[in-house]
Amino acid sequence: MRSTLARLAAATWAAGCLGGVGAHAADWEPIPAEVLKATKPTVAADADCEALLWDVAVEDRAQGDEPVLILRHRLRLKLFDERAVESQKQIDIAFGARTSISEIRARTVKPDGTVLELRDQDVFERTLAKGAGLETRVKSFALPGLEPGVVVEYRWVERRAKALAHHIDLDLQRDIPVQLLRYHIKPLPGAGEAGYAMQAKFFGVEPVAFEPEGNGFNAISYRNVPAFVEEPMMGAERSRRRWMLVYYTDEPNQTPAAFWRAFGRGLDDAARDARKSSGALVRVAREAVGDAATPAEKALRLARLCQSRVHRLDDDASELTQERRRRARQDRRPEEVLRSGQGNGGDVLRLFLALAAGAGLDARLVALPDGSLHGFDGALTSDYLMVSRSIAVRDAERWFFLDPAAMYLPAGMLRWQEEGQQGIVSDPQEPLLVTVPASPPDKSIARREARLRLSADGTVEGEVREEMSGHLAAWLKEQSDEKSAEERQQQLEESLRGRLSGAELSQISIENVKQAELPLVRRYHVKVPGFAQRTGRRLFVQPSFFERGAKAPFTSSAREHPIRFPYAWAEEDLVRIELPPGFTLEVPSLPGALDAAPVAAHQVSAKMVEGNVLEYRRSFRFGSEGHLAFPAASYEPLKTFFDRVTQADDHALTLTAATPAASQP
Amino acid sequence: MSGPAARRGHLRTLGWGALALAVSGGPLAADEAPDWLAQAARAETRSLEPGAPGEVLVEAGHATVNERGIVETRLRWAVRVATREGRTHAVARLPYATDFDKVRELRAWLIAPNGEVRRLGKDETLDLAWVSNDVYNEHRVRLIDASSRAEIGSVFGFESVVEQRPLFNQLQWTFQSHLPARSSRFEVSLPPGWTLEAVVFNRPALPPVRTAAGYAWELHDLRYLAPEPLAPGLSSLAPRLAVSFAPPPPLAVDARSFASWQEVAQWTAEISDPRSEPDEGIGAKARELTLGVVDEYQRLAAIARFVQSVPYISIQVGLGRFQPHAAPQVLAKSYGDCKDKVALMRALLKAIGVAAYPVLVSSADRDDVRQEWPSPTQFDHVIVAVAVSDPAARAASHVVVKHPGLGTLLLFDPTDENTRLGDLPEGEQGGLGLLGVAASGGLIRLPIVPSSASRLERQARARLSAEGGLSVELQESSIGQAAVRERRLWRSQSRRDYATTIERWLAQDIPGVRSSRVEAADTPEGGFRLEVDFSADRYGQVMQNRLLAFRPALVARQDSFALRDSTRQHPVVLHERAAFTTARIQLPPGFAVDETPEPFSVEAPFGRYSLAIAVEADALIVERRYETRALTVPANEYPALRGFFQRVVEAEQAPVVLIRKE
Repeated sequence: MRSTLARLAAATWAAGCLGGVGAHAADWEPIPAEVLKATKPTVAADADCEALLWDVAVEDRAQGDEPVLILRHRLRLKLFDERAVESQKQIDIAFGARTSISEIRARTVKPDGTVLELRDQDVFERTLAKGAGLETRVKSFALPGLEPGVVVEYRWVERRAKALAHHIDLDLQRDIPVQLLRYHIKPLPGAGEAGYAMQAKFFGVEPVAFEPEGNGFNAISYRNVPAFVEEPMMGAERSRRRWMLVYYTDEPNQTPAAFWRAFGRGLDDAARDARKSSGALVRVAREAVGDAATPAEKALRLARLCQSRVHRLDDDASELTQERRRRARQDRRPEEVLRSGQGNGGDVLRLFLALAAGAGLDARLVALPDGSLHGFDGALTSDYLMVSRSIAVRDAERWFFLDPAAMYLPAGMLRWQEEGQQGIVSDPQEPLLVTVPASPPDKSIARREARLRLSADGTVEGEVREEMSGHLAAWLKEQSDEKSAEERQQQLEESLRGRLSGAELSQISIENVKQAELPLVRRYHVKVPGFAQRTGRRLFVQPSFFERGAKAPFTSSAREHPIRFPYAWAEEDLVRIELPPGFTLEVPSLPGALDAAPVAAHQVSAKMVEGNVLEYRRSFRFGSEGHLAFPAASYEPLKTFFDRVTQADDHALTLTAATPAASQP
Repeated sequence: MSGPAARRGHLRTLGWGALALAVSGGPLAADEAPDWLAQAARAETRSLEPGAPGEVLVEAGHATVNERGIVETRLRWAVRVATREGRTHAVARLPYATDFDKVRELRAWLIAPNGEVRRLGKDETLDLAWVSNDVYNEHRVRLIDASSRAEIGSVFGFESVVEQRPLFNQLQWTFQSHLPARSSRFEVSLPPGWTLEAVVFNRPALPPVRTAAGYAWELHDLRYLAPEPLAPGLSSLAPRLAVSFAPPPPLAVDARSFASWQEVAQWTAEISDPRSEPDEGIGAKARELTLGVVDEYQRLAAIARFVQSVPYISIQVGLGRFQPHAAPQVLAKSYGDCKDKVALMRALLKAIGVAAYPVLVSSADRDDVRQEWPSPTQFDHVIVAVAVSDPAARAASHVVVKHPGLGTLLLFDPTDENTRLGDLPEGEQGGLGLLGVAASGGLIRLPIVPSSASRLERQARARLSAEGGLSVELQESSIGQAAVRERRLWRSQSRRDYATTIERWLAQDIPGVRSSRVEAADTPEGGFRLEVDFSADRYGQVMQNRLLAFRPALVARQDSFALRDSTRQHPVVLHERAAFTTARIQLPPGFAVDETPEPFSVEAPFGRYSLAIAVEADALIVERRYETRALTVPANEYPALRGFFQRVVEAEQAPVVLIRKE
């Protein structure tokens, strides 16, 4: 697509289609007196600063025999308080190689109408970085006379050489509220005649129609746009923001259904060579699947073979230098990958396809979006969002999904960014739109066990074992695969001390960091002074050792965005605490079970065993049946559930000194 | 003055040039390390102290001063990478200023553990802005980054040559960064007849060795300086050398020499006084600001507030890194850096007949500036000293100093928009400053504001229900630097984000907390006030339907407990701080107090803490007092200090038990 566009552009500007725009180079427009005098924002009552106008003209042009993308930016802001002054006092416009910034104009207008213009000599250009094929420059200026109440205006022209407005994201929401947000867009002259059309797809906002402006530009505008607010657990920021994707297509009348059919066929074409399995690969494949009965079982065995036999050259923990990793990006044939035992992620997928063909499986590529960036949009006639590839294997009437290129997930699981997403399974005739299932909580489980002794002064000491699987383990493994054993131990110590002040760890072992199939296991000896609190004859102990001091996931009372958890998970804890001599457990009163079926559940229990040992069990699971996304309206019950969980985990049991002597620490 | 001190990790130079070291031999064949580096790489690998990410094998600088005062500095440096994280040290970083320095040469080599050598030259060299957020700044850094190519066991080395036209005849050498160093050497060569004086900090005396044309200083086996929280800066930990040199009279060079602090003060006055003169516009502004204000202190406060409100913008060009823009120009543009703001404030004050002077300070560390070495390069910031009468001084008694010639001087930092007149930023307290007055200037000791003028007072009115529900009306009043911390938090984010931050803070101690009101504002007296109403439906824990236990220390301080490690290498820097809390917790009807924690108090040279709980009719009165002193606690007293904080944390976890009345 891009090369076609470049050819189109070259042909068009060779015909000499240069033309002045001018329409957006007018002088400052007058500012109404009421705006100058205004003391309160109109879009959001608590805003410090409000954009009265945020206007960008986007124009594709030909310049000589090269395309150039021109963006004319115009901003008019009202500053209401000192925070706004602080945030707007210095304007930095960064730009890279092949981009120029010019025609910077700025001024400050005080509430009494006094105008302070920015002088040309007060605009400074600096090169932030240059060399090694890199260049980043910035033009900076400080707006004169800033104080609460002023209106500031500035504008500049950005020229990107050898670029077109193809696959560019345009923000329809800013970090400050905007009264009027406007885009003017002008496609490359001649593009239409050559059969190309510019398209726009709106995300997170109701689409509006482009209005012709009579000069080749078409405009859209939105009024009273609230500021974008970041919140925890909101999922991909791109899926929460309002934005617009602009791109060219040579099939402007193509329906989305036709586009995705063609896309799925192309995907199948790309995998065709890989599926031609040679004799050696067939032998290896048949040996690997052995007596597996079902296609899914066979696929799992082949995936394990790929994970264990191929050393990943493109991973940051490959023990290779970054430079060697860069060289590793070249594609290899499956036979070579198997023979050398080295390859990148794409090589592993191709190897799997070849082995699957050798084993007689119907395996396909499946294209997926990265859920951490944005979900699939079937109305879009562009593959812009389909950045991930995994494998689909036909098992009777259903598809079984797996990612043999995932380094730290057991075979059969996909990265959480791909789980629960809609994707396209390749096919030479009729590609399929599928929804990849999300893994259940039991696939990502933390099993934790602590055997502790409690002293009369409140100190606990003992042995701990933690075992994590699935996505929980993958995240931890990814965090620590680059680190040395000492650094991993230090990481664990810091994490534990973050919630258990004064904790001392020793005899630390961390196992299976680089094993995909095996759970991550951490063992250590721990001593925590002040774990239990004394009041006279009582000792209060919070038996939920693994959750003590953990932060509540939702602390804000208000919520704007929907909530999205990355994956389902579960926790199974056993804590055994040997009580200090002379202390007994008062009747254990524990919080009741929390049941939010089918989404989540939490339960704790405690009993005395072996005379003076308190045995505490905790069970938690979340995200059953793929319930991971919730509308903003569900925030209140969700927060309440997690608050209840935190309260239950904070619950203390009371130990009583049987004799006065025992109460002496 | 806000320009960065030139630091290349371990290297700190004067006039923002770069130190370097002689490179023997001519151009080298590609992929062949120079002899000095090859030899360093052959040195036996030895075990390092825990946590050390690498070891510096060679660290050597040689500065050659010519008869015109131009300094050519040559540097050799080599490190062996010991851990994966240590790869980030395989970097050559050469700071320079485009208007005073010329980087003549920078070459680097990476020697893999298998001995394979890779030379890194122009193609791998980046030229970066030293400070990315100034509007303009001449300081840059030439950089060769081999961290992505380095492996554990790799040896990275570089050599450089920089020619510097210094502003001052002074040089500085820091013998190590945090990394351990096997050998660190600095050499100065001077033209015949030139004199040199040197002083060494952070270690016992280090006599120089005479060389053919000058002097050399050398240290070996410098231990790892592990980064630790609340530790002094590297300038107070690593051994460093400061050198002053001068041509024989009557010869003179462009760069300045300083024989005393008085000379530094003289120079400061020379470059700043002419820029601090009022014109008509300044006079008019001063009159406008003080119109109708009779009280001297209030007149100062009006001008101080205005200068503080001028946005901070830094434009560093040439001598402009030391010299302010002219005050009328600063007023016209309504922005400037610390020097500019001081010049503007001096001009405004002069327009109403009040004398004021610049005071150079270090904002990094209260022990950073050393009396033994008169040099303007020891400072990175400037504040103002205002001559005041005794009544005005009484209104700001914690930040005044007596000067034998100039009388009572009130110190004020117009750059810190959060610190009000009558207070000083915490980082500037207790250190040495230079009073930039031509005739009678010199070093002064900046005062430490006592905790009585820098404290947070919290009042909580709480109500507990029989089911454990809690509702609280919390009011916090802070003054001094305690107010500054609160105000900075408040001003650094939107109102919505601030409310979220407050809720997150409360949630640390109170699960399920919900706030219904968050209001914050400056007080007319210069303090800060925060009011929060919040509730939690299950704060207290009901047991056996007859006991109710809860933690009476409702919320913790916002500055958290940072001393988590059990051992310590460096001293701990504490500041003057105080927080007093009084909470009245209304008990639920039908309940009586069964048990309360024993009154707890602990006192140590570095601070004190007490927690007392009194029962008053149907309420508990909880009093907490926490104070720390501005002290640098030696590492050998760390166990006691950590124990102090640990006991405070434990005391605040202790519960109260209520029992249902029969």
